[in-house]
Amino acid sequence: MIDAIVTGEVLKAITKAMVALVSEARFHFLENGLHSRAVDPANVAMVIVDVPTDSFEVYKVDEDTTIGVDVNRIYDISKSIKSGELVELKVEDESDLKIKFGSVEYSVALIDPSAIRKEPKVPQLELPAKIVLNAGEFKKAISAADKISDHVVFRTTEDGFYIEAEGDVDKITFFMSDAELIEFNKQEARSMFSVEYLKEFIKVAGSGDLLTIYLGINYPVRLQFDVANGKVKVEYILAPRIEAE
Amino acid sequence: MLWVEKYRPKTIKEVVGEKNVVEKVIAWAKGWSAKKKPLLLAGPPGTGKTSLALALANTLGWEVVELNASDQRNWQIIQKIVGEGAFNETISDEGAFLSTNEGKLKLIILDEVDNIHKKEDIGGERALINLIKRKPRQPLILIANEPYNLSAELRNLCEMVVFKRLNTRQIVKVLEKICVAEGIKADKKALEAIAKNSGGDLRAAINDLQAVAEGKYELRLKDVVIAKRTQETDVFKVMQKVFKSYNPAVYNEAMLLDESPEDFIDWIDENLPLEYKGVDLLKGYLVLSRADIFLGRVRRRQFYRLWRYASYLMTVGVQQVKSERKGGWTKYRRPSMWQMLFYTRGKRERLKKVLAKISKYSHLSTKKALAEMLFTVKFLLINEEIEKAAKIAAFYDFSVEDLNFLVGEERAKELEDFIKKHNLHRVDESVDVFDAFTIEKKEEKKEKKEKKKSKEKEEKDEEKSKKKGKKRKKSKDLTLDFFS
Repeated sequence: MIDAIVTGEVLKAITKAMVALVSEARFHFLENGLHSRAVDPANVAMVIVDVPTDSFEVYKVDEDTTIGVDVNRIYDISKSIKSGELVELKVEDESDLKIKFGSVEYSVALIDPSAIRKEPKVPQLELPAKIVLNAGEFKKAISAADKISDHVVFRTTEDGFYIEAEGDVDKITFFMSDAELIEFNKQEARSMFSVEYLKEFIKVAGSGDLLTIYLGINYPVRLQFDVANGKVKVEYILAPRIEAE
Repeated sequence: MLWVEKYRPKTIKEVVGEKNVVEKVIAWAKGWSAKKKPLLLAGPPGTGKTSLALALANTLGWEVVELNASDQRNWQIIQKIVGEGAFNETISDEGAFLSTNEGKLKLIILDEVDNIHKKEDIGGERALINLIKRKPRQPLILIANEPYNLSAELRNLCEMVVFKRLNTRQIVKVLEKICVAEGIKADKKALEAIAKNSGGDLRAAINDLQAVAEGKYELRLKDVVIAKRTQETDVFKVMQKVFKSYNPAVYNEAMLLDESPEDFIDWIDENLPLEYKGVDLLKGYLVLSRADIFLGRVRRRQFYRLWRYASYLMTVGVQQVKSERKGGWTKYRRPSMWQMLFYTRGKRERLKKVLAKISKYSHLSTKKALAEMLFTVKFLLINEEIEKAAKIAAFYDFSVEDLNFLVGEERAKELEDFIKKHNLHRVDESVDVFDAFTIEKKEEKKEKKEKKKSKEKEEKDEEKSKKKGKKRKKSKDLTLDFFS
């Protein structure tokens, strides 16, 4: 049995993070909080969501429980919840999830977890560069890049962090120097990524949220967002594009 | 668990099939680079297309992204998954990063591509073609039962490998293996019966075997009581039976075809003269015409029960009238009617448009417009002096294409020039045909536009208000009619 109470923004952040890649996911209610992860159907990106128990107003789980969830449905529901409003999540008999807020109670049928795609392990990646910046700045850069190209290059030098996009005729460069970045370890790295995915990822973050990027050379990137006032940790791992020779 | 899944070949060596087919696929995979065309595996169901693709990936250690038929699948999703999946590196189901630089590829399998096309989304196929033209950086395999349902362009972009139906011996071999693995002592005759009944579809055979043998220790011939599997037949086989045999069971087979009687009659019609000669041919067409009468009744009365008689006449009816059994092999043709319809489609559509205009402006049904007005209009357009003809053309609001279709390019150009020169065009509320054509000034045009925007607006122009009055009267009449 699961009985948890969270604020609307937390539920929204969790589901929004998942819908960027998948429509169904397994949610694990563990002793130390809620955890979920999934690989997208094209096997290009992975999402990992963690909500520690502290982020819940109430968190009662008898034993570790896994439920299968249609995240699209719950995301739709969560859109109608105000961000400060309290929501109660309840699973009693593993057949449906009750979502209660205000005077509304939704009952959403659960999916048999074994019917959902196998869960990935979290990969061990050696990524030299670490950049911490305001997610709002990153959002701006990706939105701008989206207008002219379908791929972007993330690059770090000693000076700072570059995001570059090249269209047929236009070119966009986004640069943040060491001083502007919140944290930067001055390691060099460079990889190219699909804007299509980044575009989906940035939707989860607000302009005040923190974003930590781990970057390698022609290697996947890890984007860690702290959203909903740091209550939810969302991490995306995105495989790089294959660059034409 | 379904045996079909349980015993799906794990490696390419276990795949049952023609040697050269398997070799072709291996050769494609071994030297794979972005320069290679995607593979198109074509063949009837149950011949190991998907199994081969999966086994291939398994053997080579490639990651698999499989898109098979489901209701959730549409071209947008495919475009996203193929488009992104084929141009990015991979994060595997296990959560490992696979880099193409290290030769770790991701095989994208698009199952039943020919079925997506049917969902009336032609632009989608275009999108797939464009994706393939961009040279995917990961191997791509398309799978289709009917490759000829795909466009020629898409087919040419792929390397096609054709799978044939498996023979009984090959199927029996697989069934025997499964029986051994399941610990079932099976009579070979029983397995042969299952294999024959499957019609070269291994998946069907395995499913049938599971149905009769699961949980048993012994399988004898008398245990095999499977309803005759509705094999997928094709139209050529049915025609062969119609033209060459006397067996009336062909009716049942024809019913299993994926063709409606309305399409099937075209097949018979096209190929009848290739088989029957002389009196037989005459008799054959007599029966066929009767079938056609039924089809007409079905369409007119929307009474589909009559289809049965139409189907019976066009299959068994045609079959029985021949004087002797035909031998030999005949190469049947696709109905030329369809090609003709395809070529004349543009013309037919143009005719429809012209008729719609005539019926609208002359207040006729399109049927009547075709029967009574079309030739008159055509005649007048060709033979009247240019001014009158142009006015008629303007009255019906014919476009250049319409005129080209009606009177030929030369005359159409004359008319068009005249219309442009004198700025002739329709005025909608006119009652009298020839009063309607005034050579308008720009001002009036503007007013017309305004009027369209707000009909409520007060009219200053006298003429306009007069027209409006007429219109009002008209609508009043209409309401009266309605209530009386």
